Amino acid sequence: MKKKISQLISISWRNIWRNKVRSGVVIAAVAIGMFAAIYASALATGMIKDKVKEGVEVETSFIQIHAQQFREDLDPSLTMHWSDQRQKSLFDIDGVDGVSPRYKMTAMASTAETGRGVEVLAVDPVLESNTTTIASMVSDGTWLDGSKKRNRIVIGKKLAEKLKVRLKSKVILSFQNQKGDIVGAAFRVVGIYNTTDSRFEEQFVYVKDLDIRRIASLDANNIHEVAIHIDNPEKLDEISSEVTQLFAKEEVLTWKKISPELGYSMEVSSFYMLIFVIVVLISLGFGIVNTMMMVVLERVREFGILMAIGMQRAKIFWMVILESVWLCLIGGVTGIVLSLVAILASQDGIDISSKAEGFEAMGYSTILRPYIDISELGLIVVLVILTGIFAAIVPAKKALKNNPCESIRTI
Amino acid sequence: MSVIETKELYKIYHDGESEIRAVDGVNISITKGEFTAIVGPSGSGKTTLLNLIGGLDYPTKGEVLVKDNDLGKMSDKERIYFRLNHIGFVFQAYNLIPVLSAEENVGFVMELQGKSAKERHQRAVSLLKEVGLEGRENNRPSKLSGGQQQRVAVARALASKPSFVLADEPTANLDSHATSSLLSTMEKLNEKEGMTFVFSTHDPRVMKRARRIIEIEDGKIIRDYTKEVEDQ
Ligand SMILES: Nc1ncnc2c1ncn2[C@@H]1O[C@H](COP(=O)(O)OP(=O)(O)O)[C@@H](O)[C@H]1O
Ligand SMILES: [Mg+2]
Repeated sequence: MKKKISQLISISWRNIWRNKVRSGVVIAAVAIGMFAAIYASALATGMIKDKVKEGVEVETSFIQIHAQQFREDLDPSLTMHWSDQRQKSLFDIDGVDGVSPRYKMTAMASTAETGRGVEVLAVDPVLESNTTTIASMVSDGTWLDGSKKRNRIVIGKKLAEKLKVRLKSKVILSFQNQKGDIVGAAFRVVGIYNTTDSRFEEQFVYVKDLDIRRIASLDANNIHEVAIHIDNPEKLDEISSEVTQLFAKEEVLTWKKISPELGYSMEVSSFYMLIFVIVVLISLGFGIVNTMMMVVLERVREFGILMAIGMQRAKIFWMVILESVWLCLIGGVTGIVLSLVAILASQDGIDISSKAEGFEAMGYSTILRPYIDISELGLIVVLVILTGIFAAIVPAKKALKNNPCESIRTI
Repeated sequence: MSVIETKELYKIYHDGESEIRAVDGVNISITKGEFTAIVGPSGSGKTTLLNLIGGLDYPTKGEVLVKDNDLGKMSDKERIYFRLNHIGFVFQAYNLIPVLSAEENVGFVMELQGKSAKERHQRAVSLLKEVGLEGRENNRPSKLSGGQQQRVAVARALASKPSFVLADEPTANLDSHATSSLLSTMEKLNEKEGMTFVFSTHDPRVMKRARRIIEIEDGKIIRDYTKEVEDQ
């Protein structure tokens, strides 16, 4: 059995080189198609991955804890208990490398001219900067610091534009305290952060927890939210279940629950490549059917002779199928290799900011970093082989339709 | 015992109203070691008859027995398998697989039979030597002349150790020198190995080389005779 297959493999391999130009064209078409599909989907996947990564690293962090109902009601009185002990218990979990307790409230940010609704995150500057990368996103001015200077605020670039404020400008924040009274204070802008997500930039402002405690008469043991950073995204579920055990009364959520759209785009992105590849292979498939038809029609007599001298139809059938599989496989592997080379070559990122201004508004980076999940390549090879098989079935059947004597009569 | 036997063999084609009796009630019996020519003008039914004998075509009526095996009772698969082991074929031209060397072409049928690489090599080399192509083992068909290609085809036909070899106008595309040389090769194999040859021709010079001559016209045998030894 094995010997017979090797005979077919070697003869089909030689057969494809009988017409080098025609085979070359098919191989090139498959290679280019695969390259385009893989590279384009790697760009799309890279884009999504960057967005997700930034969304998680800057905005949500990996795990959050809230009092039950807080996320739904955003009622500032729905606080959770906090203490140094609780903080320590989180840090003690293997893999947790950042914990940031936060107050979170809806506020009105206003200047002399205009005002906008915002979300205030009141944080410990050091703990926050160890938990999210927001501190490093400050492109103008500085992040909040531990100094005694009161009422400082870091806002997003987009909000700064909307409010028409600059560094050192004053912004009035007014919000409800836990008793339901409206309280307010003036904050000085010390930093403006710049992310790729302008919706986020417009909505979230950062102040120091000490300031908010004083202004809204909150205490350190009752906070709204804890953000947790972990050192390995793979351990997300494991760590979050440990956190859930420690915070049984509270609501513990991973980023996938907090930003379902991010989690979803992550899952969808792994299908992108498959969809691209399948679409390309289907269209290439029609061309290959056509080519194999030509291949078969000009060899009808030869197949007749093969049948005459004792080669079974099934074997001839598989010989033709293998010829088509070879063409697809050579093209497919070439395309995969080319796309891997191109992906590696563009790991530093491709800057498309001049051509795609709308991207940032949608929360996508304008630096494209293609990404490929190597484990999907095996599946692509399988699909390429299947394309070769399916494209050759009809031609191969046609090759064997006739009696050998009829085939031999044709020249 | 006859190697080939046909009983009331008919092949009738219908072309609109008219019917063409390409093979019209043929009874022949060929025994081992014969060197037989089927002779007749173009369109007389030689190819059709050889195709029926070789199991490449189905008769309208009648039987073909090869070593008492009725080809008509075999499935398509069984026929192909039977041909592989019992019948060697040489066609008019373009017999060979273009991508295989002379040796590989000869070895091909043995490979289909499941013979080992060593056995294939040995037999292919010795057969190619017998047909006068020593040293051309690695040439592909495109590097061989028409006459050489036909001799490779003869070597291939013998490779599977068949019961007989059928050759349909094997010399039709050859010049007189190559024709003569191919016939000598066939004669030698007939004498040395006792291989049974049945070939068709409409060329009187080829016909003369046969020992037994079956003349057909319009699908019917009109003469069937064996030449005296001194005639050769
Ligand atoms: N497939 C076919 N359909 C109709 N007529 C055919 C077919 N094959 C052969 N014939 C006819 O049968 C007769 C014998 O043909 P053939 O066996 O090829 O003769 P030869 O080989 O002696 O030249 C011819 O008249 C030919 O036209
Ligand atoms: Mg003929």
